[in-house]
Amino acid sequence: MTAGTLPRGRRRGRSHGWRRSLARHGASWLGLAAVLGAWQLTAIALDKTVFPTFSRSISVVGQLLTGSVLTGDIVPSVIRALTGFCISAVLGVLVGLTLGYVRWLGEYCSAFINFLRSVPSPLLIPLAIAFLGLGAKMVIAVIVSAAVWPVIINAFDAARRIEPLYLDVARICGLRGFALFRRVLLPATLPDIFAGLRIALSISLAVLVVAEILGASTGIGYFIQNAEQTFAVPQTYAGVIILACLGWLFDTVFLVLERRLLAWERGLSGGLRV
Amino acid sequence: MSDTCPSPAQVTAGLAAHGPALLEVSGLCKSLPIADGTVLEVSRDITFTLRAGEFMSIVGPSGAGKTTLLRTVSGLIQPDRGSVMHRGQAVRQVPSWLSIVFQEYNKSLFPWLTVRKNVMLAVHSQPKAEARQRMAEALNLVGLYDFADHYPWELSGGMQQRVALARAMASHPELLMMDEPFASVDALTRAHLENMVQRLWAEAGFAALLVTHDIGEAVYLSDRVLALSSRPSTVLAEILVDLPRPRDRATRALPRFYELCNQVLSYIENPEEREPAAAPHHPSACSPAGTSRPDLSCHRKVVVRDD
Repeated sequence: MTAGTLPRGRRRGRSHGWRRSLARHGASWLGLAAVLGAWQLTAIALDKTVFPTFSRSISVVGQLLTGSVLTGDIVPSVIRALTGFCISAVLGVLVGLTLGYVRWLGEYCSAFINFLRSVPSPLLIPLAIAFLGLGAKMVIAVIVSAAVWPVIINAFDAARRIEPLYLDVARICGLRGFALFRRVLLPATLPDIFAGLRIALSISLAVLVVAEILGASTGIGYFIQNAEQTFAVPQTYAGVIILACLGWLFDTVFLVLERRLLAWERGLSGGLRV
Repeated sequence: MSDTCPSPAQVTAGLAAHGPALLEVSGLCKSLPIADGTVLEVSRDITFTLRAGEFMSIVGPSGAGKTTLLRTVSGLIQPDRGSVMHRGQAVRQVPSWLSIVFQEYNKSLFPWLTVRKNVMLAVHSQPKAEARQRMAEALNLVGLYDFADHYPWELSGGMQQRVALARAMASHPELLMMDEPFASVDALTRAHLENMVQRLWAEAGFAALLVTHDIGEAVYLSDRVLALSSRPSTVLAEILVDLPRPRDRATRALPRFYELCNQVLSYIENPEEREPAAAPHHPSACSPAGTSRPDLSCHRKVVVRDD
C-alpha cells in the first residue's frame, strides 16, 4: 500500500454533498420565505401603523444600509459585539482551561464562579456606567460580563474531562507550561470550547442591544430605541431585521470556522473514516 | 518489613549481568484511591533491576497492577514507598530518556495532529532540522513514512500502534516501556508488531520493559521475565529466557519455549491455587517451583519475599 491508495479523508463526502446541502438549505430558505410572506399578508390585512409590511421595512433597511446609520450605528455595534466576544473567548478559554487543569484552583474558584455567573448582566449596566461612563467601553464590558461564562464553563468541564492518556503522553514527550496548553490542552478541548463560544456569540449580540439601549448614544440598540420613541415604526422594524441578519451572519461565519478547525473531530467520530 | 531480607535484585546480581544496571527498582509500594473512597493496595514491595540494553517483561494475572507498576516506574505517578534509580539517580519526573507505548493507540495518538506531527511532538525540543530527520527516520523504521500526512484515525489499528512505536523511537530512548502494546490488535498484526519490536530493539540497542498478560509473548521477546502475583502484586520470580536470538516463528515451536512458558505460568498460577485466601503478608509463601517444578535448576529462579 502506498499513500495514494488511501483517499484523504477530508475530501471525501464533498462529491455528493453539495446536492444534499442545496436541498437542505433550499428547504430552510423556503421556510423563511413562507414566514416573511405571512408577515406581508397579515400586515396588509391588518393595516396598522404599529405593524408595517415586510416590503416597507426592508426598503427602510436598504436606506439605512446606504446612509449614515451604517457607519454611525451598525459598524460601531458590530465592532463592540465582536470585541466583547473576542475578549470573552480569550479570557474564558484561559480561565476555564486553567481552572479545569489545575484541580485545586478549580475547587477554590468554583463557588465564586457560580456566584458570579448567576448575576444577570443587565443588572451590571448601572454599575458599568458608573465606572466606565456611557459608550463603547461600557458596552463591551457588559458584553464580556455575560458572554465569558459559557466559555469558562465549557472550557473548565472539558479540561476536567480530558482524556488522561493525552496528558500522560504529553508528559512523556516533555511538554510543559505553554507548550502543553497550546499543543494538547487547547486542541483536545476545542470541540467543547467551540460549543461554548457559539453560545457566547449569540449572548454578545443580545447583551449589546440591551447595553446600547440603556447607555449609549450610538449603535443599533440606541437606533432601535430612538426610532421606537419617535414613532418611526418602519425604522424600528428595519433595525430588528438588521440585527437578525447580523446574528445569522455571525453564526454562519462561526460554523464555517468551526468546521475547518475541527475537521479532525468529524473524522474521528466516523464521518470521514476510510 | 522486607528491608532485611535479600531482594531478588541482590540475589540475581552478577548471575547474568550483560550490562550495567540501567534501572534499579527497590521496595516499590503503591496504593491507589478507588471510587468509594477506600484505598486499594496495588503494588507491594516490588524490587527488580533492569540492565542496559536488556529486554525484560512483566507478566501477571489481569488486574495485578502491572500498568500501575509501569506508571510508577516511569515517574508518571509517585510511589508511596521505595525508589526507582536510573544509573544511581532517583527518578522523580518522567525522564527524557524514557518512552512509553500504551495499549490504547487510539487515545495515545493525538487525533488533531497528522502522523508526522504526532511523531514530531516527541522531538519538539530538538532543533527543527534534527527533529525532522528523526521523525523521518522513525517513521521509516516502522515503514509508515508514506503515511506521514495522514491522520491517525485514517489508519488501521496496527498502523496506529506502529506510529506510536515510531513516536517512542524518535526520541532515541534508553528505555522503551510498553504497556500491553499489542493487546488491542488482531493476531496477525500482533505477530508482525512483535517481530518489529524485536528488530528495533536489536538494532537500536535500547532496554525494553514490556508489560503483558500474554506469557508466550513475554517469553518470545524477553531476556528475562518477571512474574507478578495478583493484587497486591509482588514479584514471584524472575525467569531467565535462554532462547537463542534472533527469534522467529521457529522459536515458538521449540520445546524449550513451551518449557519456559509453563514455568512462568506455574509461578503465576500456583500461589493462588495453594493460598486462595492470599495471606496478605506472605503472598508468595515459599517457592512455588519447589513442588510443581523440581527440575528447574538450570534456570535462575529467584523467589522471594519470605521473612
